[in-house]
Amino acid sequence: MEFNVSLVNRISAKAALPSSMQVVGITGPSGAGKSSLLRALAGFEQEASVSVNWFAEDAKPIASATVNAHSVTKAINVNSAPIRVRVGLVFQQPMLFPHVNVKGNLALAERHAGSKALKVEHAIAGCECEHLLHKSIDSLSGGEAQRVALARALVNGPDVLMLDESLSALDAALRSKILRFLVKTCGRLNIKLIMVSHDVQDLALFCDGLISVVDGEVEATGSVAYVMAKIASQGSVENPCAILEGEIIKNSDDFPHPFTRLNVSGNILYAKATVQCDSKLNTNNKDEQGLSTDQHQQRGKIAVFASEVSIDTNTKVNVPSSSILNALPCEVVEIYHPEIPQSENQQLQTAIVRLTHGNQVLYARVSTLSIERLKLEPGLSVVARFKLQ
Amino acid sequence: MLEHSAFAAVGLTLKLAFLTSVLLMVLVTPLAWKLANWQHKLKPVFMSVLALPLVLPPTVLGFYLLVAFSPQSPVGEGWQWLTGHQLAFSFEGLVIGSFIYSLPFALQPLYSGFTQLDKRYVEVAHSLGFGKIEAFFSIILPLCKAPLIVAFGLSFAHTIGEFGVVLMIGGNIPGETQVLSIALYEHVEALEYGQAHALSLGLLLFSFLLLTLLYRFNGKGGQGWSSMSR
Repeated sequence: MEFNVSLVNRISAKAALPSSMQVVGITGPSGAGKSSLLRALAGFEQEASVSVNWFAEDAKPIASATVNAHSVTKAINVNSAPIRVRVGLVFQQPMLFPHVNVKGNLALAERHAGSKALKVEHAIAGCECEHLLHKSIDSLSGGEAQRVALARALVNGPDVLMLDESLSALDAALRSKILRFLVKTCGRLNIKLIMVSHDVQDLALFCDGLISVVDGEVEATGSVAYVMAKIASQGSVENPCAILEGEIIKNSDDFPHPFTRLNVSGNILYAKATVQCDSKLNTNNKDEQGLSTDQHQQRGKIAVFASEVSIDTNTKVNVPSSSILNALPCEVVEIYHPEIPQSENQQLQTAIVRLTHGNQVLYARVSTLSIERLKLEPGLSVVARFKLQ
Repeated sequence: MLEHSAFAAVGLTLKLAFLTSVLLMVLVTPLAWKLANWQHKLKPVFMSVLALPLVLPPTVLGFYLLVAFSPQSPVGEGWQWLTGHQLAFSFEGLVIGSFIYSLPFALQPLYSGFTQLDKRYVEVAHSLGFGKIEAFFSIILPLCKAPLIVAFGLSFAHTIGEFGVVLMIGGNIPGETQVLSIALYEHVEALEYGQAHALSLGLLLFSFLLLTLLYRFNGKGGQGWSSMSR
């Protein structure tokens, strides 16, 4: 995916990501231009100058086509004639058509269903809105309307699906469940998914690549781990989030608990649920709903916020006397104070400790008093402990 | 009891109002949509021209139309060449005159309705693969049902109450151009107050009922018309 978007006084953004990145997240502070960028890419910003190639091959020169507002976005395959790319955009406000009910909205979307369209029954099952089918739009709650809007987009089957805070009204558990379904479905149908979300954890867990936008410009682009590390390294994030990857251990009779276990280089971490590392792993799954739990997937990931991590200088990993289940031996790499707008006194109260476990990064937010008491300094071996994720 | 000529006037008035309103809806609806999405420095001038019938004395408009419809003018001459009869003092002439006179009453509620429509509905329709025309008929018009009904109702009511323009370009030919307001005027001139009362009361009740219905729809989204004056 490659794009170059210019919108006078608002956006000047250029980025390139490998085509293998099926799910791309766009992050940035409020007012950074994330939504405008998405609208421009969808062809809805009339004043914007947009060059985009959704399915650019890796390491090849940018091939582009100017996007005309209100037209289907075009892309050019480097080695072939221009192809039409269907771009679907789901807003934070669901924009369901109120003159028809939920079923009517899905029927309108089905009228121009593309080759990547999901059947209505599968879309409403995955988006948890079977019971809403005959309801009027006015009677839906914010979360229900967002789920229907997502189902409508899937029934239409775009080549590129853009979500602009489209699941913001859902509670964390349901949002996570629907995102799992969405990522799996998009992977299976080869739909490129572009997500804007304020929830860094969602982006970290479900995206293959990230684009960080600040003041209308692309600040960082690349893999989730790279962009997250880059954002955290700038010191402007109060509570950085890290992603830990490992092998998923199949549950068996000797572990009768409703948790998932993740083996991170010999250390067992416990989680309520993990997310598959590669959204394309299930592409061979013939299950139309994309809901099957394919047991061949081995690697999973969890997101850990700095505020959830405590540091123990006792390097003994297993401490039976503590209720905190997860422990990971790490090395202190850096200690810094986040540059966030607050008083100098507050700024001196907490610090971020950057830790590494092999090539994986973890952050801990601790008080300066603890840093002093534990005599934390770069190079020190410690154990990072955090609760079940 | 109403005379036969009064019933003819009622029938002619309803026919004129219906035809004018239908024509206005067909032609002004796309115009209003275009105007609602058109940004140009000359837009205020264009809008002013279209709104002129709101403020012009009907006799002024009627006079210019009469001149335009005369066989000596290119429009009147062309019409006579096409149809074999003159445009002034004909029912067709009344329809054209009523169309121009009532145009702002159809345009204003439609323009307001389209302006207030959240354009993201249109964007969603396009992203779902709808072309411009299909989106207009399948999404935009159903979403603007209230302004459409208000525009039709106002055009209809305004045409029924028309007097000055009709008198100037249609005269007073029973069964051809004699509409209700003209018939009422004639009864008053002839001191037939009983007939005049019957027609007036009928018009009053009809106008009241129609406006009540329109206010009901206006509350559902058709805005911008209640401030207009004749």
